[in-house]
Amino acid sequence: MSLLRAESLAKTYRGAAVPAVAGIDLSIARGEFFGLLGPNGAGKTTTLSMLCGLVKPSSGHVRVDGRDLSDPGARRMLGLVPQDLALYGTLTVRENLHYFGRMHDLGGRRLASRVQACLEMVALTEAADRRVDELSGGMKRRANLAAGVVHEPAILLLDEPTVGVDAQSRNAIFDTLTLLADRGLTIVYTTHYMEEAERLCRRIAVMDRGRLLAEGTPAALVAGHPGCETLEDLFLALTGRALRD
Amino acid sequence: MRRLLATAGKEARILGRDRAGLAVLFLMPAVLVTVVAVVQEAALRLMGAPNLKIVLIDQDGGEVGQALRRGLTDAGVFDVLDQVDGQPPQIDNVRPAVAKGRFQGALVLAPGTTERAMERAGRLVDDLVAGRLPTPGPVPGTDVTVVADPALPEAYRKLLRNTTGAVLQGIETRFIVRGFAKTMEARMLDRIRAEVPAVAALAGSIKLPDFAMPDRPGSLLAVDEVAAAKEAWISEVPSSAQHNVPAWTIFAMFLIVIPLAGTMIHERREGTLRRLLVIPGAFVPVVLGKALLYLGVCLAQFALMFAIGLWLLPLLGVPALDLGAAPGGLLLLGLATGTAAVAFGMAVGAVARTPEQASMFGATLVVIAAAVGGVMLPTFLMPKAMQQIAIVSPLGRAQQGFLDLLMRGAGTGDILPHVAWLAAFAAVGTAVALTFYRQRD
Repeated sequence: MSLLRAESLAKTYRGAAVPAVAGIDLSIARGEFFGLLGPNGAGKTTTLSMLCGLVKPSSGHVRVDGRDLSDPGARRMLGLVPQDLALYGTLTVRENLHYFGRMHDLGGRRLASRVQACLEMVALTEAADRRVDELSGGMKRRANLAAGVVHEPAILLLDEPTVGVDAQSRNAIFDTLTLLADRGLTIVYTTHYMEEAERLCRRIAVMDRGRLLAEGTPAALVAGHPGCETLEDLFLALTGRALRD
Repeated sequence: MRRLLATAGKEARILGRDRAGLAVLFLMPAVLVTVVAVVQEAALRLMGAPNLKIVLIDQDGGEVGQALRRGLTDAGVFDVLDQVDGQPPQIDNVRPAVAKGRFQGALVLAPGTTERAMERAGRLVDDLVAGRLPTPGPVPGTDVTVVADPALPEAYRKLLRNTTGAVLQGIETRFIVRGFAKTMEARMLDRIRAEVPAVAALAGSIKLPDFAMPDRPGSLLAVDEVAAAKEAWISEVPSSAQHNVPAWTIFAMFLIVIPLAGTMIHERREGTLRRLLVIPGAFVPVVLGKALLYLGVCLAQFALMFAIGLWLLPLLGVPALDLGAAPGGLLLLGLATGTAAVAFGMAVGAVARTPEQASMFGATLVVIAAAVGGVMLPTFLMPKAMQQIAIVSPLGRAQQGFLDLLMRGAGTGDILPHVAWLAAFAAVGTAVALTFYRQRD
């Protein structure tokens, strides 16, 4: 049974000639690690924004565990790791996690233990009391991830979480996400890096110009497209080689 | 409530680490109010109770000079000098000294002034008694010359001329009355001799009433000055603290637009707002938590500025701020002003797209609203059109309220219309913030 379902999801921004998302259907099972691939401007961020309720769809529905997204209970199951480093730069890592935890109605010992667990999970225990604006790019991305899971969501939505990150930090993020997925967290992961999708995702969808072009496991998708040996070949075959400015 | 307090606490930490923001909110207004109050106090003292040094060069040595000396001294605003550097003053060295500002003015009495004045009074009396009305016209020559410092404000020049004129009128009247007294006595005796020859021989022995004219005959009409304010505690000359402390407090409060709008825009641009908006029901606590913290900042500013008025300004020679008879009204008005300032800051933060836009737009609006609202200059000195605009300036309304409490003896009930207006302004600003902050994201 799908934990997160999108039906005929579409979005046309005011004044835009073409829709950003042109009616897509997604069904993500509980515990699944789902990847959404696409070039720049494909509609990935808009899709993710609609899935977590930040953007109101022009049409279509999103359901979380069978409940409409307008249900506060449904929204509470969601966690977001945005593409931007959505942290307060002049606060420490610990203070950021503490604040977001409190906004998720955590408090007392539970909050303190969740904050500590998240710091350990992303290997930022030693840097916990440093200001975010003093951290390296990789450390900031790890802190960003920690803030998305401090409240133990059932579904985690990540929008290109490793942009501008060094290899070690990226690896650490992958390990953390794998661990979380093994513990049953349902993950929706957008990226335009093929190797990330291949490494992490059980199932992927390729998106371009607001539409889903292909959906399935990476191996099945590659096998199903003659002439494609890798996921990157498939991606380029589906989306073209033209630059996306 | 937990989310509201969490947001307020987060904002307090962020602001606490923003030294530039803290300087704008606390240090700058504190320095402004201190400097402006001290400078204005000196100016107010000069305007309210000046001590103008006037050199009297009496080349006449008669009654006119004595009357002038007495009259100018009694006016209470002139320091009449008979000597300069221990010597009798001469026009050749006094005039340049006045031009350079060493003295504010000089009066030069030409030789024979008193004698000429008495002669003219006698001729006038003769004409009047003979039934001839005098022909009005300028008096030939110059008897009294007024020399003023070129830098002396026009109001003080007029004060010197008018006081001199009033004193001279008094002495002219005295000479005329004396002239009448002498003439009437002689004419009455002549008349008696002519009309009643039978008693002509006795005329020399008839005792006529004495016409006495004292030096200072006194007033015929009583004039009394009373304060317009209801309460007797209002001082005759308000100190600069009474105007400046509330004025710069209001200005400081509205300057929170810079850090408040800035933090809202940063939150929107850096994605933290997006993260928070995923949480159901978080938007309102996110906005109102900021409002709560910055309202606290406004009240802290209020306390600091009034403390400066009460305790620091007296150390610098400015009379202490007088809190008036309605301290509860002051707190209420301070709270209303802070609420309006916070709402303004949130509205700017919701509408502006960049921190630079917010600080330029917000700060400029605050300066304009302050100027138009009478914070920097009393509204009655402004053109009519601008006085109309002052009514809608929230800074102007707040300033009016504080002036009513601190200088006009108003009670808490009297300032409720200002409080209501500020509350309405706050409601509109908050509505704008709640509407546009989310949309901009």
